[in-house]
Amino acid sequence: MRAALAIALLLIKEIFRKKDFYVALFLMGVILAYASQMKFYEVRSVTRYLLDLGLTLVFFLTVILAVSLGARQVPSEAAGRTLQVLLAKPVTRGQFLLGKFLGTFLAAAAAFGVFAAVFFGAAFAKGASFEGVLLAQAGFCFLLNLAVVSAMAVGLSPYLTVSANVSLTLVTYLAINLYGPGLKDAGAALAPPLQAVTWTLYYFLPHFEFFDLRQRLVHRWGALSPKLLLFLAAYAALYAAAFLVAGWLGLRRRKV
Amino acid sequence: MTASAALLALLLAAAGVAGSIERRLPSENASFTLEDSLGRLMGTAKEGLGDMLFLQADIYFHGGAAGRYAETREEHAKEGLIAHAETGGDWIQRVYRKVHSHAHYHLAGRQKQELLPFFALATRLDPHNIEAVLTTAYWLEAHFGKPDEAAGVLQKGRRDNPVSWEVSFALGSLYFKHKQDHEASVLYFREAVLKSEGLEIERYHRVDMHYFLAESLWRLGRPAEALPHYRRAVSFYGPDESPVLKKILLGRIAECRVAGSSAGDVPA
Repeated sequence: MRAALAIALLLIKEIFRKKDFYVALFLMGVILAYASQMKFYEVRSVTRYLLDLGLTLVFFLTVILAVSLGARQVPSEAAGRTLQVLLAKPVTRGQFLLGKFLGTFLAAAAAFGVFAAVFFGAAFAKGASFEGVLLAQAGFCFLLNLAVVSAMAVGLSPYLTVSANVSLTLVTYLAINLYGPGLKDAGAALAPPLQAVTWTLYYFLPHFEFFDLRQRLVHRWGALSPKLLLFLAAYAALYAAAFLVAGWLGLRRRKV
Repeated sequence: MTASAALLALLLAAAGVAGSIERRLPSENASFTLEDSLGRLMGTAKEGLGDMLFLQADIYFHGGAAGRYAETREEHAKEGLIAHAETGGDWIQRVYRKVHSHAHYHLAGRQKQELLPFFALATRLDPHNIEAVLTTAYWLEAHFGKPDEAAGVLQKGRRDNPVSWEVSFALGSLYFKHKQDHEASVLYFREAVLKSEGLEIERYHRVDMHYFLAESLWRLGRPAEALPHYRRAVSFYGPDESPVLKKILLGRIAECRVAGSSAGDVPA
């Protein structure tokens, strides 16, 4: 575990050394500043559109950073010939992959913290308010979401190139978020082979939309039950573990 | 929503940058509008985005939950929480509903102002969406007490949609009911009558157009001009239809005749 943590710590530093984080932060700042000064028919204290937009930016930019960081891990270590050096030390392939996952997740979570701070600054300046419990739950569920996305990107990294991995992970993430709950009904109208494909995707891919509490937070729907939160945590842990095991199997077969 | 909101965010940023550049350009006629910038960036795709935002206003009205069932008339008129629960589906759909569904809800009181950004952006991005123009004006006038802003939205809608009788009629109604400016309402109701000629529209719209045009003229003290429009409004009803409405219209026709004959305009 100590070896995995040492690898993870290196990655946390990496995200703040890269330009990607600062570009995303600047982009978010500009968009929020522009959106928060918009006026609509001289009516004040209109805030939900800003919360919706701001949370979307925070969540989406964090996921992009997590995926681009996670997808780089094995290919860049292999290209730089540092993979052999790392694995020559008393570090198992499982520890290596676990460290990469933890590093990706924690680095993305740190970026999420910075983005969220900027967003809250803009939201409070506009007069927005939040329900504390719901806010904590939204943050917790997004971290679960981030854990699954990070595990997916890291788990696929022994198999795919960086660009293929980023594309596949982001497309899957977006497609499931947009169409996930309707996939089964959509599949029912298709021919049997396509129906089987659609239903396989529906039952086997992680439903990222489970972790998205933006609507609840923006429209103040009320908190989720602890039982449901526990279920979501177990669901995220299951998928994160499955992706990491798949990645470990890929890394084990890889000749160094 | 994630992708569309991200796209919207990027477009807003791009529009903002384009706008600030444009404001600094040394042009005597430079006047920046959001739709100018987005129009240059997106072409006619901005209209699709505008229509999407108009639909988003409906989702916001329902407290952020997209409606999945047909509301009854009574439910639609309600504000706040409305008892309704969705059931069925497999475990994935049930978990999804626990996270994303909410008891049926309508924004109440001041919360309704949260719809304004979507109306404003929808009408700016797709100025040819007549339903969006009319709905925006309705909310501004009926729910936010802003008839001047509603008139502004409709005036712009009239310029952008010169053949729309609906916008002219809505303007006439606004000036007639809220501003009591009957000179203006005559102008717009006349325009609506002319624009709707030859079109297949609901009969009650034609009745309303002629009736309110006649009423505007009557209130301006021009019974001779009002009389043919009252008669036209009556003509849309069959012999046994709507006796109460017809009685009102026939009463007005009689009053016009008396007023007109005493003024020498209309033969008694």
